[in-house]
Amino acid sequence: MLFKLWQVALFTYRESLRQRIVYGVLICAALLILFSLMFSGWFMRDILKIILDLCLAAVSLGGLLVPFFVAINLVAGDIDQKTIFTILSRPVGRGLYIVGKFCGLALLACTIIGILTLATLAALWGAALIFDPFFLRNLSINAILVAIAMKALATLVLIAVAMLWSTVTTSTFLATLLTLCSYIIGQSVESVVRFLVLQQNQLDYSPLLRLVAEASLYVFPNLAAFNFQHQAAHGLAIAPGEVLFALVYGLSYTAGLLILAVLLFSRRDLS
Amino acid sequence: MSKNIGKNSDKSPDKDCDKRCNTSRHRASRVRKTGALLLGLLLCLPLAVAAGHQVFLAHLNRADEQISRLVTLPEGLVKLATMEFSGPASDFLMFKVMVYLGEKLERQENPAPQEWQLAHQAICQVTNLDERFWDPYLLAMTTFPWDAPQLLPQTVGLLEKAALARPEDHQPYYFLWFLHAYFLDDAGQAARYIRLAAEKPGAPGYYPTLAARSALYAGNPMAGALFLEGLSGQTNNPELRQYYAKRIDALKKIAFLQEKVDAFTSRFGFAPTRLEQLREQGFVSALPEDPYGGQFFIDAQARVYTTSKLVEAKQEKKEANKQAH
Repeated sequence: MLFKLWQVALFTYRESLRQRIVYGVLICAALLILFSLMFSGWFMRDILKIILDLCLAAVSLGGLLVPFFVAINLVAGDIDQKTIFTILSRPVGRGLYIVGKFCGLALLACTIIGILTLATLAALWGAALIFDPFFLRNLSINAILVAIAMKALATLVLIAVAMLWSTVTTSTFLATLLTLCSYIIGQSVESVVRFLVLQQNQLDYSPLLRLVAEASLYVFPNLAAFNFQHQAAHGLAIAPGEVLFALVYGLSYTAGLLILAVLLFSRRDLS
Repeated sequence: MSKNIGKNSDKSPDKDCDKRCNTSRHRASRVRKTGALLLGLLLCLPLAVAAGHQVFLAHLNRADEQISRLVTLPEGLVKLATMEFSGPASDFLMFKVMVYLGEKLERQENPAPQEWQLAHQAICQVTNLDERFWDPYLLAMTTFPWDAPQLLPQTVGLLEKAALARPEDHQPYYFLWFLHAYFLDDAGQAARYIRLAAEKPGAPGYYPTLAARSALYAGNPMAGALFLEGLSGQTNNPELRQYYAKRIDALKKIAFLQEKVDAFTSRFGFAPTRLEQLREQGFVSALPEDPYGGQFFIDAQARVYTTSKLVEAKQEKKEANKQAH
């Protein structure tokens, strides 16, 4: 079974590499990292923060490419164009198909993020050559690596979301739209709930609104939980407990979404 | 079979000719198409460059457009809308503020009060997006109190925000000390801030001594010059270093003339009313020139200052001053 899973994952990985958009965005991200070196030279003191802000944004964008452009095209496209029957006619179950696709896409996301991480480290090395060490005194490689690892985890969650929507809907457009909505809600729901909790004594709002907002915090993926970019950019220490909770949250949420996707996909009438 | 071969061989020259004709026609049409496309490109490119340049020039003259529309949006909304990209958004907005102010300083124009207000609003937005970002606070500290004194209370507010956002950093309190000692002449508050700065890790050992000397810093040009010299040494941007250098030069010249005025007063028992008196009595061999294009003078309290108020004078005024000098 593991061999079959590996084969589906490898097939997905190879198939996704054939989409040239991946290489295009990789080149753009690498250029952005080079640009960060030039751009940071304009600033007065926080040069390291500028470089890391831009490089980590490039890592995020590179990661987002997978759920938005590759995952939906592969899964919803398979169903849309009926190519799924070719795969399912072989001894591969529906559950294995979903999990295998996810593993292949996760491998692709890790490849892209890995390349961009190397580019980030190269940009930092370039900065060490160009700028006075005073401007790089807050550099913390550990914080940068943790922030990137958490970005990778957020990407995995989003891939699982994209896969879930792809199994539920019948068109790639709808799946993209739903994934985009989940991403926007996931990025902002924590801020909204925090605002409502902090302002509860000053503002008069409906308890139902707060209930809906709080429910959204648990229903939708809280992507802000994986955002350690601020700490990495400012060289601040990251609490291990916080990372551990984010890790457990990310893995369990992804597993939950995949189980749900498998359940829905198993009952789906593909004909 | 042989007939067929014969037939085919009879037809083949015509077919070959047709093929060749078709190929040459196809080639000619391809050349024509490529030529038309190249011609189109040659027409479009200069048009796009010229129009793009006109758009850029039009934007250059629109003050409110030069920073960003983000400035005028509510802080909460901007923070929410930028999602995980609030860090890069703060960097780009800060870059726009620096270009905006940098262009003004390059053109030797002092921004109007509403333009300073816009810059302040933009800096507030930058610090809303990333409240630990030190550059906006630094820019506010080194420009607002000196060039836009009406923004002094807002600068104090910004630095208090910095002190909260950067609890391990001694610099926000040090800046607050300087603002209260030098500009606001409030020795009590200044002493409180420098004590808070001294408690922070890595604070220089001389901070506690500044608490007792805060009153001496009020309007003291040498103190201002030394403060800016300290900041200039830690600044990467060459344009800002140039901006600091000019102000330091002017402050040092004021401090030098003040020293001579004090020496004159102690020798003759009365203060000079004109700076020329210093030259006439041999205290100075020549009077220094104000780098901002103004003229140094002695006020009624025997303090040396300049007609430029350390703000860039207009070019014509500068030339007139030079001629008068």
